[in-house]
Amino acid sequence: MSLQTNGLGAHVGGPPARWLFRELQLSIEPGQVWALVGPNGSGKSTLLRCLAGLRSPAEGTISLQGQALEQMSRRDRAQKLAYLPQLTPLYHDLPVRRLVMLGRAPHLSRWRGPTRDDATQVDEALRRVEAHDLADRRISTLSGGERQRVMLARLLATGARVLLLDEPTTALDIGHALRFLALCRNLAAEGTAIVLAMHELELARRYADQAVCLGLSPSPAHRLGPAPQVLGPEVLGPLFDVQVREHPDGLSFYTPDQRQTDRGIGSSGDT
Amino acid sequence: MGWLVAVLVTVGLLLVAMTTGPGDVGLPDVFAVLAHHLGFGTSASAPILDALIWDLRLPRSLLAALLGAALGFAGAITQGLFRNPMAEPGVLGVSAGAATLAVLGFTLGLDTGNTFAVPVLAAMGAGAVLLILLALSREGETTSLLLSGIALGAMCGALTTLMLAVDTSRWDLGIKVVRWLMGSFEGRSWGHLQGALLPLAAGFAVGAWLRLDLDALQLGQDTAASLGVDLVRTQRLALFAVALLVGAATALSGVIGFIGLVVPHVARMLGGASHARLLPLSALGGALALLVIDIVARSIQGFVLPPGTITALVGAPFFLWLLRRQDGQP
Repeated sequence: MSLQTNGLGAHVGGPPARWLFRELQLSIEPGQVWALVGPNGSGKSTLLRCLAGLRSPAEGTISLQGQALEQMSRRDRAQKLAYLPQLTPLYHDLPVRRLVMLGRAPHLSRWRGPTRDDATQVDEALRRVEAHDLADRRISTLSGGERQRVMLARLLATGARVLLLDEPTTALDIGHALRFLALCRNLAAEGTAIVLAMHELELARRYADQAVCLGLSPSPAHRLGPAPQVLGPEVLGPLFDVQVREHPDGLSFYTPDQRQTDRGIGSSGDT
Repeated sequence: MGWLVAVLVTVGLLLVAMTTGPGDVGLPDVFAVLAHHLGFGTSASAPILDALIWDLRLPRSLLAALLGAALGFAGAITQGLFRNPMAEPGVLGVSAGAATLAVLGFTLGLDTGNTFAVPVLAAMGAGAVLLILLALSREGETTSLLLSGIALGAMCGALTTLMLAVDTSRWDLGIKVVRWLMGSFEGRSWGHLQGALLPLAAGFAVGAWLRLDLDALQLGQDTAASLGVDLVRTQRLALFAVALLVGAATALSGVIGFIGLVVPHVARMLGGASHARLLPLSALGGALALLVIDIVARSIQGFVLPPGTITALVGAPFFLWLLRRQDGQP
């Protein structure tokens, strides 16, 4: 299932409104992982919310498998497109299985409630994120990494083939972040399309196929293309106002006035 | 199993309620009267006994149970709608809004010969306060929600007092409104029960219809919307249901607070956060609570104990405890 945008643009505040992005042409295909990067406030969350149908863009259109997103019914859209916000507030502690069952909401009948098939789908989703052993735990007892895996299971339980995740790895330690991204790659290999807003640029470069950079100057410019190309020194340096060094294993970042030889990192000793 | 026990306890309490109060009424008398009216028994009981049980006590107790169910159910919806365990129609000034318009109805004399006028007005008052609260509330903010509720409640209280000041110039009306404001099940008849049935049934039905949407809403508005929940429609319908339930309950028995706070909490501890269980459990719990309170009130002789005072005396400390526990959370 492919998600496409045509001339997409959104702005905030105003008047005069500040454009976050304009003329965005995305073509997110099954099996791809997209990384969405940019400084704080550059519009990553806004773009994801537009793609999820939670916000109307100021201009342009979004289509899911050729059908305009705004013309789809809520239920239809929710069955095809799943979204994980940056923070999921939990007003009441829930058992993991019940939380994942909420992902079945777009499929439930108002009269009957969850069926045996829904329970099977929930178990399957938990198994795919390797969290089936957590099924009977309460959310409040989970670690950050476990919690994000369970949230991913909730997205999978919707049966959606396009997943939009807002900074799912930001609160995770590096080990959990790596395992979470590996999980996303596995899901993509099964034909799911995944969009991840991320701050971990190196991880984005390693795990994403395609990348979108928001917040470039002159505002509201953006870059998109294959992740290893887009997420290089010439884009990231000005974007985050840092110095970026590329070496065979990845990237290193420095503030503009920092000597790159600090703590013995780097070899050329320039600046 | 648990449901069966709860329903049996409710029925048992209803029977106990029949035997409570002045006069020597035993369970056999109650059964005889009930059997006669339901068409099983052949011989009628003594007219005085029959009137006492069938015309006075039964409708009163049924009404107490029904209004308790309405308040418990409405509390569960309100907490779900605002995603806030402190949200309750009484605390948020919704009941006060219902009371203000109900008193307006009494003042204008709309209640004579029309059983629907005051409940409808009360529902409108409750709905208006809920609308303002929804417009003011933001995701996950307890303090501002509670403070807004307090302000709205105070405003409604002031308007009620203002009308009361006008009403006291007419002695009968003044006494009637004050009695009503204190809250009571005294002298509630089959007619009252009949008037409550339609709005309450509608409120229960709409709430039950929303149970899955309310579940999804517990993960926040964005997640609920991404799961296909129509936020605007859900809010409107939930508001409509709460307004009907609280409006009808307030119109018939005065302001009875805190049932909607305490009961859903206990129900959630017993049955989990899923609204498919939470809503009926809260209704049952509310019915039990008000039945017990009415039995206590009726076993006290010499004065009429307003049920709202007991619920507030139990509920307010519970509210403070909750508030403390909330503050303790990170």
